[in-house]
Amino acid sequence: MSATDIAGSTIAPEPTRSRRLAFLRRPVILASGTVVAAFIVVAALAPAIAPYSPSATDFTAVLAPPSGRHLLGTDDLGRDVLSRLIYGARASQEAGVLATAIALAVAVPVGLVAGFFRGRLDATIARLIDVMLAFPSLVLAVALSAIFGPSLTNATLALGIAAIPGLVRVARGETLVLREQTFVKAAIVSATPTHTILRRHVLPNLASTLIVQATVTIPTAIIGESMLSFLGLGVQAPTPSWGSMLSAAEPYIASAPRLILLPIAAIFAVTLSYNLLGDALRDALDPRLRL
Amino acid sequence: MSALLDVRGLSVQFASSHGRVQAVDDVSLTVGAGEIVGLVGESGCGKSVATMSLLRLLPPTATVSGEAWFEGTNLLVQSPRQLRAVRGRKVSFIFQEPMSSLNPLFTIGEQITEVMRKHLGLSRREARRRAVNLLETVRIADPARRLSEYPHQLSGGMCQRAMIAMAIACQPKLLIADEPTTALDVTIQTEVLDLLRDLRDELGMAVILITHNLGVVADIVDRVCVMYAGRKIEEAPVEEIFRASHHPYTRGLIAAVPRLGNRVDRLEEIPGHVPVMHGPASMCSFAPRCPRAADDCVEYRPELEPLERNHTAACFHPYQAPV
Repeated sequence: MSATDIAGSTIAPEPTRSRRLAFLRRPVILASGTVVAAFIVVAALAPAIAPYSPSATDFTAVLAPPSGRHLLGTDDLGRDVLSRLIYGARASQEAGVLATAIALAVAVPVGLVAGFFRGRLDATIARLIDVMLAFPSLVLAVALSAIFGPSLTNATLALGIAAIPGLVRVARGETLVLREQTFVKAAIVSATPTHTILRRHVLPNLASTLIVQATVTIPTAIIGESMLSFLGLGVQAPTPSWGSMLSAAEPYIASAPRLILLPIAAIFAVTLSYNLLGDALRDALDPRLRL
Repeated sequence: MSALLDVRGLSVQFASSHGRVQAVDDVSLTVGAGEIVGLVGESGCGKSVATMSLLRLLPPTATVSGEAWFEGTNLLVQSPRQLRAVRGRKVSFIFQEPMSSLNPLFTIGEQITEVMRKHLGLSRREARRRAVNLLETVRIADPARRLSEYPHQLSGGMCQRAMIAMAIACQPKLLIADEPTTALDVTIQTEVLDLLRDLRDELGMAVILITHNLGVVADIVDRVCVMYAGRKIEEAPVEEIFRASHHPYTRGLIAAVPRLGNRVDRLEEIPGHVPVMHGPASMCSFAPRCPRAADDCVEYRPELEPLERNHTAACFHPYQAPV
């Protein structure tokens, strides 16, 4: 072993900011992060980017193939497909992010309290979560949005509720591990108030797991929104959504397959990117792999 | 020497799915101000549970009885609010695993100053100034830089020093050190033990040193309590223990410490395991493993009897000759 090898392996790296953010340069994170960022920007700026109104009909160009006028062609009512895809991103984005936010807002406190205080409350919550997990979450979401009535808001709410049990289980499980850590015991021993222990010692150590879990929950909710809209339980016409575009395109599957393939490609690209980003973030943020 | 901590008849039982478990059985213990007491015994003999129960840090499945007088109050009947004023402020703990005793997401400085700001109401600046002094006290080089480092950047020995710094930040009267050196390598062990002794000399704080290693206590402890299966079975000044321990179990422990220079094929051991007690003992719980056991050992329970001045042992057939 040469002298530089020895030096390289024994000198601890300085924790500079660039090193801490080095994971951002990994190719998978870079690629998936770019797609996700583009998706967010497109959804946010839809009115500025879209060449046409998503509901503007052009009866001179019904089911028109891609052309200079309509880059991705038009649908059966002569609406510009590109514009509808761009506006459809809004519904997906709203459902994905809001549903995850709702789920996190409920699941994190519940999981934290159940995992930290244990006892009868925890046993009750854990059994309840098991019961909820026994239903596939998308089936649960379908049932809930059927009860709430069809609209994007209700679909988002239903998807959020359906995502709660999985997140509670993660938050509770991690809390169970953390509460046995010596630094939590040390905090109890030095009379740190319980809310401070939860806020300073448990929650921050949960954060990386929750961030990863959230990036996996968002694509699930996006698929869920598409599915609910496909079934007519989500976004209502004429507001565009990738799911409702699919169901509207069904009769033209043979004559104009792009009407089916384009929304599917959009759903596929976005959910795959979120999942890859989640996986890569897990690798990057896992404290056990940090050293 | 007046007693800082006076524990009388401490018993701890756990309710488990396999029935009751008697973790601590009628243990009494006094610790004088500025005294270092070694609590020695095998894993599972109740040393940690006994000390944890003093500050009521055990899970709700534990039933604790007895008295624990500390500065004129019985810790075992105090309200949670009163206990919080004792925990960390007057009695503090250090644990076995230094690396996991610090929150990996905060710097050493943040964690040390937090304790002082909370318990002593210090300003951020003042707490930081004291933290630098504390790290100097526990002999961490370049303290100002270390304060802004994270636990993973410190070695195990340094983490344990940082833990000690946190534990003494509020100048407690009593420090309970639960196997503080087990996870450290031998040279670092000595340094940490020396540090504990020096801190006792400088700050006048009492220390309860929990260990399974008699070699560890020999250097720094004033008095030794040997525990077995939840009971205290021998207590004496440390020189007495090594010179003329009476209880066969203590003798076994001393024989089990390997010595340099004695070439042996096999290390000394005590055959068998520590029994799990399901209630207060009705016989000598060491009898099944004891080379001197006789009929009376399984019929009656030996109580602690003074055999010499300051030297008690719970045994019907104690060794009399020096080791």
